[in-house]
Amino acid sequence: MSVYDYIWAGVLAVFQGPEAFTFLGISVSITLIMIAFGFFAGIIGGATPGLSGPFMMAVSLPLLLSSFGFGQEALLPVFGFLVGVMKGATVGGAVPAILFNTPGTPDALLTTLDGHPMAQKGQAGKALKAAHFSSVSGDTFSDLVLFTCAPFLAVAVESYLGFPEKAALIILSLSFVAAIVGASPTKGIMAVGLGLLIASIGTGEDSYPRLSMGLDVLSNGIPLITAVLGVLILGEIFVSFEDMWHERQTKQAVRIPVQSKDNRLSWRERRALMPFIAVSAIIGTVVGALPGVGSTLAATLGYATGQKMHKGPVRFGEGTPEGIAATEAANSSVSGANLIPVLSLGIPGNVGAVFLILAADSIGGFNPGPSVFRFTTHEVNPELVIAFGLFTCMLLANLLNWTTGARFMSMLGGMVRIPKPVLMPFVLLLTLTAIYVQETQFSAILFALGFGVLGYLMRKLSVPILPFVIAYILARNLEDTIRQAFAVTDGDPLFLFQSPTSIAFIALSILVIVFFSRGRKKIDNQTGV
Amino acid sequence: MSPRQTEIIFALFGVGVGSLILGVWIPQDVDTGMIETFRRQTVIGDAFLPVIAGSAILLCSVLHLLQMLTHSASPSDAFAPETLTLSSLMLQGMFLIIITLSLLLMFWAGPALSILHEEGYRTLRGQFPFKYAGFFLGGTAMLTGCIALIEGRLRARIILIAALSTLFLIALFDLPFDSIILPPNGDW
Repeated sequence: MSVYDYIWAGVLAVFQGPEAFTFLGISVSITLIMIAFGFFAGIIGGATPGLSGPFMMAVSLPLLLSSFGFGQEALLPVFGFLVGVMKGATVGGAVPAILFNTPGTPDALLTTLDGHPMAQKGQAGKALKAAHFSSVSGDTFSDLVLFTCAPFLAVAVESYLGFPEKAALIILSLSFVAAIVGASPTKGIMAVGLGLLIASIGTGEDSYPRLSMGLDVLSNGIPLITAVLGVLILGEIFVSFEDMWHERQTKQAVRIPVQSKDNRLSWRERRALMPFIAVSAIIGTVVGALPGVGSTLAATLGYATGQKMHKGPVRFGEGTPEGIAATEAANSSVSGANLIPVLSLGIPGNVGAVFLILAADSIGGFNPGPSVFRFTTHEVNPELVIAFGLFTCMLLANLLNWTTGARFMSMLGGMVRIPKPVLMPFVLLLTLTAIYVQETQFSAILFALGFGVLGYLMRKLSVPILPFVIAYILARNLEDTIRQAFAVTDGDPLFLFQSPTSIAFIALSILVIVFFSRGRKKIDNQTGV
Repeated sequence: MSPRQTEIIFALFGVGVGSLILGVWIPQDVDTGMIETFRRQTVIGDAFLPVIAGSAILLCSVLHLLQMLTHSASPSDAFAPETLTLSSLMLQGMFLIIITLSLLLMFWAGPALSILHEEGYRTLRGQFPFKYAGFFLGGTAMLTGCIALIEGRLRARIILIAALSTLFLIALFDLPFDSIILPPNGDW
């Protein structure tokens, strides 16, 4: 098969997948329906303060697995839903940020700076349209970069890197995430160590399951979904319980100011936004391609750069559409680029990518990483067809976003009225139920609660969560690669230092840690503490 | 307790945990070493990854402790724990008690209801009302308890919202999917 055959097979896999229903005699694929469901669910989740894309993905994943089973035909409907949620939540987060000065998602925080002043001036509709236009433009640009970069990067990795170099690359990725996420590289490395240690429980090559303390419940290891949902979702819920308990005295009535009748965003105004969108989209894409660097940083950099470029009468922070464009284009362009390390290296760069890996791991038949992009000519590589199917899902979600996103966003102002003290306990029960449905053992709920407490303590002690989760996911891959690297070098203890590439990766790992540790010290000194 | 003291206690805890992992847990609970030679073939043993992980925890805890003790880094806003206080731990303890009691109710409500029947819960767990009893009562109790603790008051409206929310979850999980088993029925 040629490259074009693979691309076409991916497109057909989406359109000719399992049938949902027929409309006017035309068969409609379930994958298309799931993309649409995911997209609208994502916008609703993003527009609801307290929820977010990862929340929606977490609770829906066990339901999706129950619905579609574990065959390869389940991959695209499940990926389609998750991709839809990812994209929907990105635009949905701007709704409460603009209307109520409450960011629906953390990366929409800077959208409040210009979005809410515009709403107060009666321009909420214009602000929402500017947010949508910028968000979907940035997202589309980022996806196009993903489609072109990921296959080339994967082919390069597969062609030039042997086992020692791959092991060194995973170590570099873990060091980078540990150093850059959170406040202190030492705490980041502790989180990585903890992730690797817990992933070691009940695994290994010996007949005795290591670190299982002789307990049956630990002998098969801790299920990936249970641990990840516990530490990511339940930990966040416990923190939100505490925040709500402290905030219950400061309830404020939610009110939308009177709006102007003309809230259109003209083509001239859209053209004026383009330079800000372009610069922020590039910033967001570059930031998003680095593992562990989140959309909040991209939004901050995009906003700061836009502020320097801006020469209009209304300044940034006082209610200008350019401010919204700079933020929304930057944070939205992270989502596509974040999949570059996942698809080309098998390394999840953010929480959304973690759930795609969890889905792939649970269903089977698709192992994100460089081996996906093997363009075999004599036999079909089914993983490559799925990869191009995933790209097609992303394009279709973008198309849906361009055509219906703005209208749907403007209908969701009421989501902010859902009381958080009711919503978060509901999400707790929903998450616990979803975990039980997946594992059908009460012990899984107890494990998840244990990991929830761990997630709570880590947040409270400023120990970053993402390095823990990424280390937990990559542990098996890292250990297997190290074993193979050790074997191919005939048991050389210096197997990581045998080629210039692996030496460079290890040196970079150390440099990254040292650089960010020194950077932190400098910041501390500057702030005078 | 000042942020620096909390950081020092955290680092000491890390040193203790790291030492226990490397000194007790791994030697006692892993059968092969870091590197093993078996039939003249040298391979990586099962202890390799846990030792690397434990060493990372121990080394970074020692570094963090030294940073805090020598004032080379201060617990600035970025470093310092958010607000891990005794009162926040007690509050979380109360939430965990509510969740634990609700889970106990969820686990035992169905079997308790089936006492009057000869068949036993294992036989009845697929039939109404036994199928939903544990999840409904436990879920309603969990939601009611958590909402009431957050709001600082218990109202009939909260119980109604909790019951309706749990019914919604039953409808969401059980009605469309024949293969899904609601908690705790898979354990019986």
